Amino acid sequence: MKSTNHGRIGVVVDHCGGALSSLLDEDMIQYVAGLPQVVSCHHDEDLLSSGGLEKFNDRWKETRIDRLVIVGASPKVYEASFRRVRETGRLNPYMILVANVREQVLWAICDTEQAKQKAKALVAETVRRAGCLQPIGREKTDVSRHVAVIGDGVVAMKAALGLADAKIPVTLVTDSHPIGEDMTELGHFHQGPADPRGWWGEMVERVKSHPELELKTSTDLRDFEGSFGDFQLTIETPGGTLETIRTSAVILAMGYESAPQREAIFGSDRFVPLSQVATMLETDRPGQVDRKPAAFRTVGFVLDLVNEAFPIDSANAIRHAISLRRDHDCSVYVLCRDVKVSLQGVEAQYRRAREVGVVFIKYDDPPRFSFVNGQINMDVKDVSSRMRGDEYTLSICADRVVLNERFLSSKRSQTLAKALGVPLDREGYAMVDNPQFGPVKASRRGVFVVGGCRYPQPMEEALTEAEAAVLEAKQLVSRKEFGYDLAVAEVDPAKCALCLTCARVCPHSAITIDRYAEKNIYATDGYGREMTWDAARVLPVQCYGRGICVGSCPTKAIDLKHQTDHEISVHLTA
Amino acid sequence: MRDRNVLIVGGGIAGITAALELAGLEISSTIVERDADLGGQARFYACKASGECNRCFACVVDHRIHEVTRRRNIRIMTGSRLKRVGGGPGGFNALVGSEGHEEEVDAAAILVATGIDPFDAQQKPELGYGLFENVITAPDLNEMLRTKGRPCRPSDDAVPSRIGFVQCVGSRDQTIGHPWCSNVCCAYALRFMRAIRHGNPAIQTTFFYLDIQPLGKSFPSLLRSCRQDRGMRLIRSLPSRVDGDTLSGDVSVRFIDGLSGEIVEEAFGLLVLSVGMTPRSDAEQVGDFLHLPRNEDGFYRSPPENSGIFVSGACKGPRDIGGSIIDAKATVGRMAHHLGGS
Amino acid sequence: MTSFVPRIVAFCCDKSAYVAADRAGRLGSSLPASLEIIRVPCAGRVDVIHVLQAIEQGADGVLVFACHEDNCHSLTGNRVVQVRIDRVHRLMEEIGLERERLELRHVASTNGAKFAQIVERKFQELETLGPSPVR
Repeated sequence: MKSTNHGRIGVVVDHCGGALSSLLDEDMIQYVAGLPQVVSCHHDEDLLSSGGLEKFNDRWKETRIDRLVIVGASPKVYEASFRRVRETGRLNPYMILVANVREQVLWAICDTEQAKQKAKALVAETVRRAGCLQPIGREKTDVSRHVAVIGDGVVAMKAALGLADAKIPVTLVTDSHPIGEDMTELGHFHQGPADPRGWWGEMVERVKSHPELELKTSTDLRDFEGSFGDFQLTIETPGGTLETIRTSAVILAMGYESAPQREAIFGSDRFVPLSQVATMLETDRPGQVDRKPAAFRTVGFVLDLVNEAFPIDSANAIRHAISLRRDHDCSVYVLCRDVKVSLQGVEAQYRRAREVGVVFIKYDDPPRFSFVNGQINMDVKDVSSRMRGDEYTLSICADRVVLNERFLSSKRSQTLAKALGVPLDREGYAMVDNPQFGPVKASRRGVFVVGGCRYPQPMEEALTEAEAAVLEAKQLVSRKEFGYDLAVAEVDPAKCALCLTCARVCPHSAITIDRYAEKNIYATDGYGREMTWDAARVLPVQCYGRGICVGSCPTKAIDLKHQTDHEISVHLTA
Repeated sequence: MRDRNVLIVGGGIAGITAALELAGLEISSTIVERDADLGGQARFYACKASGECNRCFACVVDHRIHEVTRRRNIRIMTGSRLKRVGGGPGGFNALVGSEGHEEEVDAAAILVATGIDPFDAQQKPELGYGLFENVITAPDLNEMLRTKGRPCRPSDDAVPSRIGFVQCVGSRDQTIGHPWCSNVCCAYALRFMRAIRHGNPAIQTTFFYLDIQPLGKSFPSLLRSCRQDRGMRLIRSLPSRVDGDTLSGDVSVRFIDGLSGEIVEEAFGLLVLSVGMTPRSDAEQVGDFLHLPRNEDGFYRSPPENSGIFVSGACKGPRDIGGSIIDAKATVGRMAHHLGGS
Repeated sequence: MTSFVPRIVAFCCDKSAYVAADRAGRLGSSLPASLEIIRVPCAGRVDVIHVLQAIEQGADGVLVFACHEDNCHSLTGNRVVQVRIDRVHRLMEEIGLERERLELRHVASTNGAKFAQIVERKFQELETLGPSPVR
């Protein structure tokens, strides 16, 4: 058991611009200066505005202190200052503790006498704990200037091109071939480019010809390990060859899938999936020379039977409704639970649709369908009609009924996400909805998730996410080296029982299994031979220093460098 | 090599995010913020967690404000306004005024992230804001929850037993020239209701709406849990009129009941107006001397990229905190490209 | 009349509760002087042994603060600590220690008022419950 009786402790009393002066009277200062191991006690009027701790360097050199306690405000307020301390070389920033007497004593405790006693107790405890601090070093890792993008749609292409244009070598990995053949995504825009096919084609051409972009089609992801700056991405190319790409970061940019509604009578070809309306309109273009009378005169859009809480289908339905009404002279009805106008410009389109004569009917109970004289009959209770005291059902006969398609997470995305260490949410979309990571960042450093595989979003939003991911990746790989403090978890391989708990519990995929130390766990077999085998190893670059693994280890083989179990024990012991 | 500096007008979440992202590319920035504190509208938001996080992003804003004040290459000028801008792309020269003195700031590019104003509910006098004490707005409710931890009636500080939320206040409203949908109000009101009901299960809440607008990845589950909660009523009807009872402090709301088609009145202990977003009242000033184009609703449009002026966040059109963050990141990406690589 | 002042040990997650505790005072709330705050990088750092040590060393009540579900800066820290707290509750039941003496609560960094309210409520609860039998 380590003794707490070592170290030469310096104290800096920060008066916080006079705020703490009432608490820091003669009695208090004497008490602090007289605590065990305290060899010096300096004062500062206002540590933050006076330029930080650097000015004490000479005084510390004289008194040869090796650790510091600041009596002042919350440690959160001094954090930036601590980082600069390392640069002056005098003191290791992890050899500094803060007694939070401003926020958590002066401001929080009303009774002055109680506050004084509390402040004393807090400083005494902090000084005691300072005895078990250990310096923590800083490491650098080389960052290879390369990023991998996995995906086959426009979002993946945009991300890959964004990086390539910034002169960052990128490998675009997709299991489809050739790239860009499936243009379903064009239906996921709500406004979209003026010439979607042209825009798409141009992007595919650029992807194929960009000097910084290596395209790998018909390629599957087989393995993924390592740490940011040095990931090993193992892929299987056509022909079965395995290849390992060394990369610094990975962007997962897959899309989502949609499945047509198949219930009951929806199998009839009079039901048109929303994604095929564009094609339907193409084959009946106004002004077409050999245009025959259209097969459809009355079209009904029925939304919100599925995807009730997504705005994109409303936006597309309204757009098509206007086109059908204005250019094809159809009678158009839109049945929905709510008219979703949150996407930019849709409210104005909604107004325009009503102006040209599209009829919107809101329902609470889903409409019922039947066939009448070869048409589809929709029975729906109009919510607004109830407001006139009538309770009657509208019956609308339509030649075509458009149904939106149910959004689904794709199985391929799920497999890829799992391989990359990205957790899935309840619906199988990649990355749980946690605002601390937000869109783009995954919980594994160096891995990013964008687009429809994250959740079914309009293409405009997905493309913005791609731009954001490119920016994040650029920030990471622009520097040749990545510096990080070793304020991480660390395994004592001699104690590790290889239960794999820490590796499984780590949310950042920062723990791997390796044969790495001189003496991992060993045993002798029946013949007296020594055998060594693997132990858990923390990848310091990937570790966020949170200690979830430390709290989970059954043999206490793993500890947190910047807050050891021993330190917590000292804190708890009076 | 000339030191690149970006002038960021507006210290809300979009401006702060942009500054942090630029710093990540080793590009320094200067944030000019009109108010005494950073954080814009969102700095007053309360956490709206119920049994789980409801993704209101209030804490994320909190963390970003903390981060941005700790960076060496981000200069923060609060209580300051942009007075004049001269020069052009690659070499702008701005005059910033703060506390009676003025200072010149050089920048290679400018980012406008001036945000929005919440709609002034007094422009809808029929809803009673400013007339009856217990009619408050969503920003008022945020402040209340943040500082007191529970909803309470301004009249007597008591916890109300029935709270009503009125949607589309200042949005989707042709009569006041605000035809746009403000995007975030349905989500924020549902979150408020969920948080309030979780902390105070005895409180009944009612949501008066036109159409429920979805927002974000977790909206489907948020809506589902609200529909399933017996203590929450979702009524597809916007109130026409609000009256106050001076004795009890109760607020009486007149609306059309969907089932009967009749006009009814119901009393609430507290009524919350879900105000929308409007272009900033001084938007015209900043916009004018930067020659920023505007869309039909009065929000900024992005000028051509080679102008060196970029626009980010809600000042381009209503969006939530998450949307502003992602927009700021994408905009910084374009800015970095404009400024010549990383 | 002996005045029993309950000693509360609070493990505070650095990202949420610790910031909230800093805020409590500024927002006009107060914290009891007998509250001992232990700052941890994540609630998931808190192990069964730490909670037991706190109780062993005479804490009348132990509060463990974590981020809200789906808001943990390490995704699952709040969930793993819940499992451990449940385990300690079972141990407490076995040895006849009141389960109210240990509680897991969730706050965000902006919840200064809520943090103070939770501590105050626990303080009052412990005043009624009395000093820990371990003392």
